[in-house]
Amino acid sequence: MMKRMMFLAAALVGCNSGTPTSALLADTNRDGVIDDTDRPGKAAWSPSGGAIFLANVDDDDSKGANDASDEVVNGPEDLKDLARINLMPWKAAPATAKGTLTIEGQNADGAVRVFRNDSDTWSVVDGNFSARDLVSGLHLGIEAKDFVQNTDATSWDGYVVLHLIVTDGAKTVVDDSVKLRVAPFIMISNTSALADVWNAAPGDKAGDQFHAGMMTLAGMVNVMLDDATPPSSQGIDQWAEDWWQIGVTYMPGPNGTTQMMRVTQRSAQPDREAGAFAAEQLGPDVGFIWPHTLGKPNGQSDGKGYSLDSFGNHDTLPPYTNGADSYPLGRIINGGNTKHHIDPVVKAFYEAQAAQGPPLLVDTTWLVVGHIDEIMSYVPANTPRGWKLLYASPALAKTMLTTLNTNGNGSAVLFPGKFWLNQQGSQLNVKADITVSALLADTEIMAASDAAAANIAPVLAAIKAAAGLSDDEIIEMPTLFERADYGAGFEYVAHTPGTVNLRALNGAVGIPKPWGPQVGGVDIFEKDLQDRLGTAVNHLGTDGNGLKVVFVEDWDDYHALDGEVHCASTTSINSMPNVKWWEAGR
Amino acid sequence: MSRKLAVMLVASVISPSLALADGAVLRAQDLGNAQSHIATLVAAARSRDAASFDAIQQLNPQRPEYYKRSRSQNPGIAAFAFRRLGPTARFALVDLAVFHAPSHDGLDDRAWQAMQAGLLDAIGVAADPELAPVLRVTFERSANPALQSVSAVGLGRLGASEVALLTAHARPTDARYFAALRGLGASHQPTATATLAALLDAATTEQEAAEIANALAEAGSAWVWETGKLGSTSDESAVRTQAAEALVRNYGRFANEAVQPMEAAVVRVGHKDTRAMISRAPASARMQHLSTLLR
Repeated sequence: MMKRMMFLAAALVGCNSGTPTSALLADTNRDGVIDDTDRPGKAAWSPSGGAIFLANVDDDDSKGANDASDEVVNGPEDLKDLARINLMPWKAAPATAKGTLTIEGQNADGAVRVFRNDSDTWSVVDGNFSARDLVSGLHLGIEAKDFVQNTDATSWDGYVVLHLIVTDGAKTVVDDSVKLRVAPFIMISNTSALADVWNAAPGDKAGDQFHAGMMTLAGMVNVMLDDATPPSSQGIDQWAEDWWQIGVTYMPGPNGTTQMMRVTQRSAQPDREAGAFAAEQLGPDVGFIWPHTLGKPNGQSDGKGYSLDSFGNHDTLPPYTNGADSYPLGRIINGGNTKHHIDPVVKAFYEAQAAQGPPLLVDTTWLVVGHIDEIMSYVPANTPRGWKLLYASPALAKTMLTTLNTNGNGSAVLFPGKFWLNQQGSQLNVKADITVSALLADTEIMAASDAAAANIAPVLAAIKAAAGLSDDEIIEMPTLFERADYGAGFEYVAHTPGTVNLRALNGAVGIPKPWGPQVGGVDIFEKDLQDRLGTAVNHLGTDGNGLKVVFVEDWDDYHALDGEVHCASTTSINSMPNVKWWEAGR
Repeated sequence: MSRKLAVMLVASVISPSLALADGAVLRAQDLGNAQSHIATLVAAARSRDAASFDAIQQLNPQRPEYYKRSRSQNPGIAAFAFRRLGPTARFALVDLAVFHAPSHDGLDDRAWQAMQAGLLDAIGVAADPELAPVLRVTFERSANPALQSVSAVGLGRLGASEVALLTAHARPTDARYFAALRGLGASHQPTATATLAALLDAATTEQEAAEIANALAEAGSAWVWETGKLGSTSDESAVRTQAAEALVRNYGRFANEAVQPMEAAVVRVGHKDTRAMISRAPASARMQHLSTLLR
């Protein structure tokens, strides 16, 4: 509160009573104080200068609707979400002077709302300033009613110019303007400083095992484990990664602080009831958005693209610079192709945010689920880049099994004690255990794994080229695949637990328990992963000494249902990212 | 009483009622002359292994909750449990597919189709020539492309007569063309691969070339041949050589949606002479790129 008052008090310093001094000043230099130093370049916006405001999509007074949905300032917390603009006083303004304020910019009128403060009462500016207003000056505040939605020339582009004209009789005595840009919706990545992990665990034995694993993971790094298992008429939708995600938006606050809100996003799958949970999080400093095609389910040309709208297919490459290509906040990556793709409305939304786009598109339509998180992940590393890429490698799995077979361990058993479709309520147990030699001799698994490897290769090449990754920044995760459908695409899924579909959490990773070949009581896949991810050999973790590795049991409720640990959880942050998006040049 | 006679007696009692029922994929009468023989096989299996029949009645892929909980929002065939039931269970699967359909209640059309495809997939994986009529009739009569494909793949795992059937449908004007291509890819017989190679030489569209490339990749996959389960060394050599040569020979003719499948196929076949094949093709940047993809 004190900081806010200082911020306001500083705003009116610097006026004089000579020639007309009416002007609009905002925090153009982004230092948290509005003063004369904000005058240079205030009519422009660039990475080095230009004022910023928020899409006011949270609900600070907990009324059940977002704060931009009405024409009032919803209390002191909501006031913090307004970017301030000062109408500088013209103390000698004659009684015949008057001012007008217009909102300019590509379709900006209607996208934003400007408030004025009169004796601590805020009301919407009607566009007119009286001589008295000009004499005293005014504190103004601006909010956007929503984020910029697309890059279409007929839509708002996220910028707004507030244009002040002051006249005295027929004479224009002041013609002044200030330019602002709305803060984008920012997706977080595996290298963000995460505060919460949300998991969805059905209340059965297998769900309890999964939950226990996630508890261990979260406890290791002091992250809050939250529940995201909303009841619905459709039953439990345990894919918490898929039906919502939690991003952030932020702007410079007073005196070097940052004003931030978390923003939940519901997937463009309107018939997926669990997504309503995202809207239920709307509250103080938590906004909610739901970009999606109206009128027909998710804007897809056919049902095959539906799964691509799950957020497991909307991931974020951590920050990178590759030549002139710089993504200081990371870059959104989506799976799809020209025929099957994410909802066009969501695609346009991501592109319009600009800070983490344009999204990198890679082909995941060969996977039956179709999500990028089935084959790629990212973990922090003590390297110049700060992270390394993990990818599902059928070749590594096959090599490891072949080595075991060659060394006389062909009878070692994978998936010991596990069953296919051993779900709650089923009396049937189809044993999953299989020897190394039998798995290597399985023509269906080898064909599917070979096909998967061939489809992963171009995805890997695309990411490698985009981010400029070197070979030692890429780590293989052993995974065999099986065929789960026949037809035009959407055919393959992990047969061995998809170890790359892990939850990265502040230097720890929760990896699906691989149930790999057991030799001498040791799970060879687990040992390999522990050795390569949990030690200093690959310089992983911010200190380079390796990640904290937890193997999370997810077989029955997740793996056997075509998903893994990452699919069943999501994360959020509660502090601003250490990158100021406005300086990112995007 | 001999076992054969016992089977016949059991069949004579059970078959008539079975023959009147409908399965999840076919009506029993669709099998025509094969109906009674397959009914006999199923009846015999039921008497031998009632547990498999009981177990399959409980399988989750027949249940709505399986599809509701699966991460895929487009239900897949969910056949892995079907496949892993063991060899005797194939008759129980045929029972569901042809004679006694499981309940449709609660399954939407997509889930029902996925369950149908799962049954056919597992029957096909069993590679039992006596069950070929189930796959053949489905392939020839179903209007559903997914069921056509899965039955064609099952046929491809069988013998020369099934390859001949698939080859007969492997014409661009045939409604089952793409399914037949997938079946030929599953065959691993040199004659099937030769057909695919010739079709690729004649292919005029990117989509067609992509489908043929995928089939050649299945036929010539180095990883699959390494299992030692497919055939002779000479068959392997013939299949993989024909596949690699056809892919390299035609790679330069396509520039859009066929490119990635053709590149993937070249990599999957992984023929030891692929670089030499590329070097014999007219030099180009694309051919040079192709050689960089080899494992």
